[in-house]
Amino acid sequence: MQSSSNSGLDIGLVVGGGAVAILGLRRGGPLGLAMTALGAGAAAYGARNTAVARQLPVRRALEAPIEVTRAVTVERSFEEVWRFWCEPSNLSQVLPRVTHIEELGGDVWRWTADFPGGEREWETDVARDQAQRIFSWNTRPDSRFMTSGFARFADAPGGRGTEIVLRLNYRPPFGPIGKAAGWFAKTPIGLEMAAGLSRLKQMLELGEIATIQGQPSGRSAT
Amino acid sequence: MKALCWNGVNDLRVEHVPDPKILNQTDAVIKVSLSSVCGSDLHLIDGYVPTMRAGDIIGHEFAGEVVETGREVERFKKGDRVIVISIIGCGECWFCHNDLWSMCDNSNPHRPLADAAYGHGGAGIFGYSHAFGGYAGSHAEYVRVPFVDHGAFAIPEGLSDEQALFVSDAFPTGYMAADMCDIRRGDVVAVWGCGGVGQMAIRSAYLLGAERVIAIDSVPERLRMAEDKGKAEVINFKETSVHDELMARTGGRGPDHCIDAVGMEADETGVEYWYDRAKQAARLETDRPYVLREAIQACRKGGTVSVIGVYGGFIDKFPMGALMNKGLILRTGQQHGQRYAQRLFRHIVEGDIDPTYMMTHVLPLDEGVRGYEIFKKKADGCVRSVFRC
Repeated sequence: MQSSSNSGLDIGLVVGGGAVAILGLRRGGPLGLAMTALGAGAAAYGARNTAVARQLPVRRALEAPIEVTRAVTVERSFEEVWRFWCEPSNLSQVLPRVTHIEELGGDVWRWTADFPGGEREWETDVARDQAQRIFSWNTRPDSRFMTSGFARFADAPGGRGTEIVLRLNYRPPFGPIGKAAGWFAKTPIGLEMAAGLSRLKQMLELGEIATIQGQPSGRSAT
Repeated sequence: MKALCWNGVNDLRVEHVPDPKILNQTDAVIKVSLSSVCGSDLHLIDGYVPTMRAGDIIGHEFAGEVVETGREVERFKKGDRVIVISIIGCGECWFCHNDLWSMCDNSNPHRPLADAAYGHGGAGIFGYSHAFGGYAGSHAEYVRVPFVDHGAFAIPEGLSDEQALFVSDAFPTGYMAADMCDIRRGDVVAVWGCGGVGQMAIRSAYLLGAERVIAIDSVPERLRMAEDKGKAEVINFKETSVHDELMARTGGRGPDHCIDAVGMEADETGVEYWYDRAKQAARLETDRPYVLREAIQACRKGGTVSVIGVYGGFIDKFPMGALMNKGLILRTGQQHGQRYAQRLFRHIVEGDIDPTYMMTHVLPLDEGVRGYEIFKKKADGCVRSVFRC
């Protein structure tokens, strides 16, 4: 919900929140600290649409979708990599959390993935541009959350195969708090994307994925 | 089966664990005959390598017999006697194709973890922490070997498991340290550390054409071994100034090549040791780089500093000025055993070297904990404890 001018509620939040913050500072102690944090938070939220706030990098960062990029080089030809990428069952095998991808026709894919909160499904439009060597996707307009991205392919120099650049954009739910959480999630998401690209590389170069799942250790002592 | 497990800092135990099985079709299961301790294990035991998990089976230098193979294994069958290179290479990535096996892109299932730490993660290693793949190690009755067609080498006819064992790790590691020096006829090579890798670096430097090798340590038995078996001149760093002694023995030029076969837990006498020890204890640096500093200081202008001793994290007071202004070549790396194994077997078969002399203590696996105690304390002249599994 974006409004170009400050509503009465926003002004109230700035004034009221500021007052609570000052009272908290004067009071001191754990309760005072909590009051200061809460008041300052409310005031900052109320001031979010002011001209000054709009210029703040944090504010701009919160509004923009979060973007994570990872890349890998696979010692295989573009054609082979492209063929692999465009097959949903291959992607669901290597991409993190994704358990199933279904082609619904008309370049719409339905994704199913496991998240800490449970299984989730969403649909995306996909665009395959083999000539430009780019594969992109975008969540359907009626989705509960937004994610988009692309995989771009290029010949690696010196006959080293194909470079893949994977970019993921996402806009987490739950407003500014969700966005802040999403910002902190960049590192683990980047790790998961890197792990996915590493598995993709292994499938293409080896036809298998290196694993230690099922090996013995003292943790499974008999 | 029985296996020697890491359960925490200085807490090893022999435990009963499930037998390994084939997980990928390029795997084999090996019945371990001999499995050696390695100086780099001490870094795990002492808690300097993060990402160990309680229950991990350690050990990475081993020989044994193939008992089971996956469907896609082509070079080996049940009953073959093999050594296995400690560092795992997939054989199919750019690095393996370029004989840079320890940099394999695909054998480490935890690559992103290692990428986060080092920028780019290296290969998986048996029994060497989860940043290096988390593979179960070889101090066990059986071990699963992934990518066996690339990592295992048949023991040549006429060689015993004992003679072949160190082609798994110590010999190629020492050989690579010398190989990285690009030794020319007449060169003098100094080797810091006379453990297993240092002993092999001394022998390898001669095999590659060095005229003189000077070995540095403080353990009398190890210095004696370097002298008797390695034909090295020796310096005991507890008795004399290493730098002054090296200058005196090289006409002030310094050794042409300096090999650091010690790594992150260097011992030294004097103030600098305690400085590094204190910083390491306070986690202001993770590794004690005393040997590295001394090697850079001593090395002949334009010479090579070859680092094969293991470092894990960050060091302090690195003499970059000396390195740069003396035009030194710094070369490093975990060993590419797959590159060297056949060449090293030939040296053993032809009688140039028989590395069994490093096997100073042979014990049953049940006595694994004691084997590491003896090794860690360098007690009783121990260079290597080797377990019969």
